[in-house]
Amino acid sequence: MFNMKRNSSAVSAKSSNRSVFQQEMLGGNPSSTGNFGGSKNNQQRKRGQEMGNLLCKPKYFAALAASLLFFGLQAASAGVAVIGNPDLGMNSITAAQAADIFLGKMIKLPDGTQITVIEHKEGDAVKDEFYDKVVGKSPSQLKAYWAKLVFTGEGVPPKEYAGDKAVLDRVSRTPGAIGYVSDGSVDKSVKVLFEGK
Amino acid sequence: MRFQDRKFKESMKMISNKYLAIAGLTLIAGMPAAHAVDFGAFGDVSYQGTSQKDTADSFVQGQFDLYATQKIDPKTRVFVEMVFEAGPDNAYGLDLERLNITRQLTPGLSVAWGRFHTPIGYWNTAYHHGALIQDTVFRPTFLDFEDGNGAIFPTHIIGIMADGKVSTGGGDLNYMLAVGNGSSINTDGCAASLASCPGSEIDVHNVQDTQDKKMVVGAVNYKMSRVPLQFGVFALHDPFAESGTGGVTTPNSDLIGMQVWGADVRYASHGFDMIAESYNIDNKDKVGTAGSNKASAYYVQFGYRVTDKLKPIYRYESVDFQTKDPYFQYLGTPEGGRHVLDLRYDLDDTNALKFEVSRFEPVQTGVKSYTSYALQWAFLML
Repeated sequence: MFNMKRNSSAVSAKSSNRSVFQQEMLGGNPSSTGNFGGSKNNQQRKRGQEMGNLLCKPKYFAALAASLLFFGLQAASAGVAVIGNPDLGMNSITAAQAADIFLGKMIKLPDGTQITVIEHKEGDAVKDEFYDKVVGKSPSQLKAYWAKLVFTGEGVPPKEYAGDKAVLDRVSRTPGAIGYVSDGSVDKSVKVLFEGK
Repeated sequence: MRFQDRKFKESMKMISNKYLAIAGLTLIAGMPAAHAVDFGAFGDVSYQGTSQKDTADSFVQGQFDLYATQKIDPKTRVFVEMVFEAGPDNAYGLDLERLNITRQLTPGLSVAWGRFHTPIGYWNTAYHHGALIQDTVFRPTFLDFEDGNGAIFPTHIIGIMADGKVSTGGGDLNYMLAVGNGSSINTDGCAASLASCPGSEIDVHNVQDTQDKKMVVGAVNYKMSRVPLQFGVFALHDPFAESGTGGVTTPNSDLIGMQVWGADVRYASHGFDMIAESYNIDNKDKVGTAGSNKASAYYVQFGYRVTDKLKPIYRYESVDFQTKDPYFQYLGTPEGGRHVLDLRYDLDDTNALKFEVSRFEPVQTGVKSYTSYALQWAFLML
């Protein structure tokens, strides 16, 4: 959003270039809108014009849109991996167990190991995704959940770390630690206990 | 002399309330600059009515409850809670309901200092001022906060508390032991005799105790890990003094020696939950000739979550005591049973609508039964 804004303001500051951009994208003839001068500009203009003409053809436009949609969906549905310290005595957990761990309902593993929950900071996209897909709570529901526990003295939310890298680092170095990261961030310093798609 | 004492006490009370409120506000105001602080607010509004002729049905501004907590070092946590609410005189007041600092000494032992909820029974430990947290509109009447109409116990304690959890194979054993300022009965509304005294309140002492004798409370409960069952026992000793100007005895002298012991149980599974608590009370008259007076109070509550949002609840509560018991005469406690039926609808995790109808059936002759109802909208701000 910020980038879009910044680009648009840059474009508006250079009205002549904006005209070129618009013309190229629309496949129009820039020569009719003004003199740009120089052979390099002419070449660029020609390439842009060709590209614009190409995009105006329905089949190329459809291909581009499909590609954007495909990669966009891929990005949106990136999985979440629940990770554990490599020394944990178990190699997998269920989705229900993962939910219980991060809601503070399960504080020990079946082998008696005390769990240290490593949580993401509010605002990390992977946090919203994890709680939506695995725990079934929206950010506001999660806040309300912990607020009630804090208020009644029955629980304290886990310590939070910013970003996958910090969570990976903390999980790999803390005995009994369990956290979660985007599945693309997983490395060999931790073990994957559960994958949520 | 008595007038001077009263003026002094009033001054002390005003000063203490003022400084406690300022301390609390300062803590909250300082929050954004400090480390991560969890804070939020509970509130509620309602419409309440009764079949009693002398009470008009009313829209009610409920409580606005502001709380904050922070782990100020790896083993130390501070909790503060302030409540804005209006009394029957329609005037707003500000109470610092909880202010405590807790340090974990070992994994199984923490020590806390400040103002807490007295660890008696399940309800007073689990539910606090935020109306959203409890299923029903109102607390069991005999567990009302000290300024409530039906209050018979000191629900807050100002002192020091040790608590902890010991995990065993089958569950967790929790214990709490607290020592704090003794309570008193404010006899400001009393005339010369007890018969004209009803309506006195229990006073808790935030900064100035009335006497050296202290309140002692202990509780142990066991939460089973394989069965969704929790049960516990508790005991309380409170040397009630007289505060106020009723002149039942010399101000700040012994009035009642209260001993309480009881048990609580909670079961929750597959949307169904049950809570029951029983209190056995022995009030020793320290002024007159009423001697030792046995009394009891209990409630049992059932709830079933029909859907994620809808939950009907039924509760029966009862208070029984001897008519000669001066403690209940001071407080003007109505003796009898109460049927309470609630329907709770959770609009979201942050707010719920609750409708409650209750029917009070008194034991005393000459006191009429009555029905009350309330529609409440309770919420949590984050």
